[in-house]
Amino acid sequence: MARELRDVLHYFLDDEPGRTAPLSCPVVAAPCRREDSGRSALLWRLALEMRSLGRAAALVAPAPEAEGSGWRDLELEGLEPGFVPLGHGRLDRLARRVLETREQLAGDTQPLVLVQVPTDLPWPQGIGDLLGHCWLVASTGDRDRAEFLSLCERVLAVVPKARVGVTVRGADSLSAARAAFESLAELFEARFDRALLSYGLVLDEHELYPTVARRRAPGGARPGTRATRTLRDAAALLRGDLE
Amino acid sequence: MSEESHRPAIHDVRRALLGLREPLDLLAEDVLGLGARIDWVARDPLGGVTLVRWAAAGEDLAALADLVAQRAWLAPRLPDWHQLAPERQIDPERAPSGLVLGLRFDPRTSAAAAALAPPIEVGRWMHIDGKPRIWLENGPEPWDEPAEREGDTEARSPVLSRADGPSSSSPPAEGLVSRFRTLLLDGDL
Repeated sequence: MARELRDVLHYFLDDEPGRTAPLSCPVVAAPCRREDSGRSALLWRLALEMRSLGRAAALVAPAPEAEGSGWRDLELEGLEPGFVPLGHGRLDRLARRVLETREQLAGDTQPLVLVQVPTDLPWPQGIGDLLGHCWLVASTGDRDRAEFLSLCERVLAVVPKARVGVTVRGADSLSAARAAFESLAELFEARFDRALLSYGLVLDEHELYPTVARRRAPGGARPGTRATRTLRDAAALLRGDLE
Repeated sequence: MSEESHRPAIHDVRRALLGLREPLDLLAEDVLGLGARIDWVARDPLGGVTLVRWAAAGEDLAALADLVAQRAWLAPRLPDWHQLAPERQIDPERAPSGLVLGLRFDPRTSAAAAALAPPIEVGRWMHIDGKPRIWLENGPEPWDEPAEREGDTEARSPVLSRADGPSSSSPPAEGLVSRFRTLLLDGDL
């Protein structure tokens, strides 16, 4: 990112002399709607896989304070997200928590903060400092693709030089995922004149929702599933881009 | 026909259509229409069909007239197209649109296209930094768009508007190499 969060602290915080943020803790944002339980679960699992790969990953997300929150149906074993009550849509609180989390992770090895940025709320000025590196999950289905494009447009309007990467969902093989990514990338490149980063794929989408329905995050109970393996692959690719 | 009036290649057209603010998916080339072939058939994000006609130099008024005729010819046939190729996901309920592409236009062409109901788009074909682009004649002027944050030029949207052209400001590309990545092999799955 061109600027560190602390450079724009005044957008979010009252004057608090002496507060500084660690410089080497990247932030990766996962913009999605708060009620999106699928993407919430994938983000949670991504954070868990990051930890298994040796990164001190923390997860910050809006608290499931309202009906329809994607987190309400998940049983989160092994990693407790830092839930932030947003009150009346106060995304500045989310940014504050990210900053605090970065400070807490200052002494850890390879710290990383993953943050769910709600797309169903207006984005205040300054939210862009969370959006320098975004992780999206998309397929080539019409609705998903339109949502992907719209979200990219929104992110890049705020942070024109944001790094945007996508994990392909909805494919049933590596070759199908490759074709899906290439389709999304062609659209992205033509529209935004820049490269789309690839973070692999997540397989067995059909397995994810039943596990969510059983109050489990995907792969939470079965670490050997294809869903878990592919998310670990996505985590490894993302980790590589952060180093 | 001069060299510069040659119809662009299909892959360039596909790329340029995808770069529009409302991206169009190219479905087919040289489709038989009413007594002539339609250069390209595309689909908008809502499933509406857009007929795209290339206008060689000096032929833009004729191209517009042809496109009006082709659009009228197609409208009652859309349900048949949908029935024949449902995987194309076109919406037969949506009236077909039209886009005339060319290097330059007689002012009468733009005026006539805008006066149609629904209007037909007129797009100037160009290359910006070597990449094919379409500048829609009746689209919004990009330089009229306010910056997101006053005094912050970086906050300006990088999105190519329907009227984006040489004067628009977009960030430097980070290298147009989007490659699918995975550390997995088929056997891992």
